[in-house]
Amino acid sequence: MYTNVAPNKFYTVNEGASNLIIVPTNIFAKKSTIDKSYIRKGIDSVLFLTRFSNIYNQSFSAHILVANTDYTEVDSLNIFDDGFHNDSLANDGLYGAYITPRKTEDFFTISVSTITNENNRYFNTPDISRFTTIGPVVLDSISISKSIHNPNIYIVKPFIKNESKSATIKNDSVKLISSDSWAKGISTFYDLPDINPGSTVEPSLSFQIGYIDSLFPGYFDFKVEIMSDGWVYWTDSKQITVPAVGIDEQSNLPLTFNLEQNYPNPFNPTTTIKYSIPKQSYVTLKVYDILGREVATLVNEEKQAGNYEVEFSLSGIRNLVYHPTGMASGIYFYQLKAGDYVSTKKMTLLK
Amino acid sequence: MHKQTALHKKVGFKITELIKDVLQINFNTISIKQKRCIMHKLIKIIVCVFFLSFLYPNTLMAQMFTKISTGPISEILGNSQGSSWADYDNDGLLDVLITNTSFYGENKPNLLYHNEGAGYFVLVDTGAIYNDIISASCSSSWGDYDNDGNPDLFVGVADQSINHLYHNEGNGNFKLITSELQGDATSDASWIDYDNDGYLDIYLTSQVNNKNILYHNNGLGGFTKVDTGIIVSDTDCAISLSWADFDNDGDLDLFASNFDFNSTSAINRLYINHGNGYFTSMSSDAVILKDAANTTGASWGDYDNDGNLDLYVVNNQSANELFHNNGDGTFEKIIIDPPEAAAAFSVGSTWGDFDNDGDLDLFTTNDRGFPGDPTPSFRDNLLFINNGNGQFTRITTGDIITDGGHSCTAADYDNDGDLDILIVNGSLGAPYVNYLYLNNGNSNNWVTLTCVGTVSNKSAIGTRVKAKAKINGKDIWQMREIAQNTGCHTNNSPRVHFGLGKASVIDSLIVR
Repeated sequence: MYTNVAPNKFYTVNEGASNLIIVPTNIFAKKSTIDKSYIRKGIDSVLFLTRFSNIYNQSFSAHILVANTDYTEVDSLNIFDDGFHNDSLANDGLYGAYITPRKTEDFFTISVSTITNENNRYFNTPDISRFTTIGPVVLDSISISKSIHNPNIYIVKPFIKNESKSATIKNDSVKLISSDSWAKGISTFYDLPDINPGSTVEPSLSFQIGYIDSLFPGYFDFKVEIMSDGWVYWTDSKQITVPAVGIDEQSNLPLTFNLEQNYPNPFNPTTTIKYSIPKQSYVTLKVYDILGREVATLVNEEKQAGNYEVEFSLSGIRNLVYHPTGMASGIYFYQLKAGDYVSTKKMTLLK
Repeated sequence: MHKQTALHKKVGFKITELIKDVLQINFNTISIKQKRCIMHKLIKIIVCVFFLSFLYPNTLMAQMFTKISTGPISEILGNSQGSSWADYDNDGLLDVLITNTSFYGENKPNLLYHNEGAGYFVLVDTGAIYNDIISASCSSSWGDYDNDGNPDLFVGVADQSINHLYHNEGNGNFKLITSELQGDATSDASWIDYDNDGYLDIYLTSQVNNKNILYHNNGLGGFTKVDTGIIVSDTDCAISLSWADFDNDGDLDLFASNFDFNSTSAINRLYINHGNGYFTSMSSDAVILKDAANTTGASWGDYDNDGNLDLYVVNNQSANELFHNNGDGTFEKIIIDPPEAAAAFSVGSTWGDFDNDGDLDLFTTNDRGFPGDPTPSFRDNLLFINNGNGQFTRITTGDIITDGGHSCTAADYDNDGDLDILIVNGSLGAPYVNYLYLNNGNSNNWVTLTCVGTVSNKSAIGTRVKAKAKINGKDIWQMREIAQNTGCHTNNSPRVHFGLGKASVIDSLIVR
């Protein structure tokens, strides 16, 4: 039993312990951001923004420490929630400060410390963010070729150049990204060798990228993120054109995708849905209610090219989440997806 | 610059931009001196409120909850069924997972929101949970099954046998465990230590063969399916689970809300835990079982501070029922809902001392019904403020009432000492918006406890906490039990929260 417990606090109660523990009240930086991770030495500034975890809403002051790797260039800055340091509005919880241009070519770390006004409680969050004046490190070029094993895959290799005149990049890696809607299956990041000033390197392994042939316009937009010690300091992008891929025609099969109107319609309790696919595809045929929520899956498998029909019956339909008492009379939709083909039609259940 | 493992997408909102609610409270619950003071101020400030007070002397208008209309929780649409709270990264702030089923034919990820403090949430849009697209997630349950200090997450899948267990690796990272915790269309799941061996077991509903499923935690990171006993052999169709030690014997008992999809006469079950994994079923003639019809969920809470957990049972288009626990294994049925609310499609419910006055209040969400079905004639949510004398005052105005809702949970997400409410709206129809309702608070005192097991399971599920404080001149013992299941598809905050009225000290605090 604990006695004379003060209210309006958060406590941790460890089983069997003789005392309650007041939850620590450290105020610490969270969701810190900087607007640039590479800046030109002596030219560019960095905008640092952060929020704080402050569960007892104590008043406090906050500071950042910016330091290079050997602590020969160190700056301490106050950060504010006053609306005057590009920190959005005053008193909105977002603190900010500009870090002035750096004098040396190096990597820099940012740490954040807080001191409560009431009891001078100090808390420091080290290495909360990093930036660099080394480089830039850029995407020099990209090689791309079709896989000899899989015609739907391209083999991609980025070539990364260190444009610094004096610093070597170590413990580095590269990540290849494409946000194109037709790109799929891109790999993760690969290690790079050390990059001497002015030299270009490539990862020992190649990336693989697939594509959706019906959408593919013949090029990819690639972005690279280049890391050192696990931190992304440099990003770059390029568009690369590749030969388009043709699609063989299969003249003895349906020429187009098609989803027919169900018959009978209205229906109760069964109806038939016919559809055609001109090439081998992964097919789904699903039934949705008027709010678009799935109530039945009629087809969900790879299908050869051909004409098909499927029967939809109320028996066995008991979608426990949406229609626990069974499907009610009304309008429903059925939707065919075959590869990238999508068609939706309406049908009416009349009970 | 960002680190390679950067986790979060930031979307914030400003509390200062909130829309204000107005709710009614009962004038009889405050002293004559307070009445005079409040009336005096009201007369001076707002003439129209004076008029209302004159015409209806037992009520006044006061703000209680503020609807949060901005921020990612209300801006990211889904088809949300349930929610569950936990401080998954142990930073002192409660985070929340919202489960989603498919949305306009597209499967949606379950949405884990990290609490940034000061009322800000961000969607964790990377990692195992976000990248694991599940067709129909209803329930989720947090529990530290391996006692490593980090709450793990179980997500039940409502249309498949596969369930998803995410091990909390610490540092905000989760790993999807391809586990043996298979189900048969899981609509609800509970982490519980039913045999008090110090490790959390998991219990699942089944909507295919209707036999609930129990997996015993072997303490080595694995689970063994329990294939004997009444709680895994009864063939009811449970939709949600509510665990509590209602008979005060030190182990968790189970109320199973059974929803018969083919009739309106489903019988709920109350399973009594006798220890060592042995359960018996209370007779179906018992008051607490015999009248329920299509129950969707239930919530345990000691609303009258008598040391016994009472049960509020939520029914689909049938009157909800409050069962007072007499302390001798029997219950007395009490109807607090208005008669017209019997038409409501009630789904969610939660107890919580929302006004921090030293007794549990009650909140229930009422759905607007399934598409194609007739819209229920009663769709308002129900908020009952406990008067402290066994009676409740129903709140009838405010967004939190008129918005309706599917399921609900209570948690103090902004760490200001009062319980806020989250309503998710998956079955309501477009636009599928979920909302937080911020408790505007008052000057009453409170305390919040996070219990950590050492011999017991680390999540302290099953722990009972009693607090004695002098409230309104009386020594009041309040009681809470950590068993997070509440209502339907939802888990409340694992923290223990007591409202204390004007009490300046908790005289005694007992943790069992």
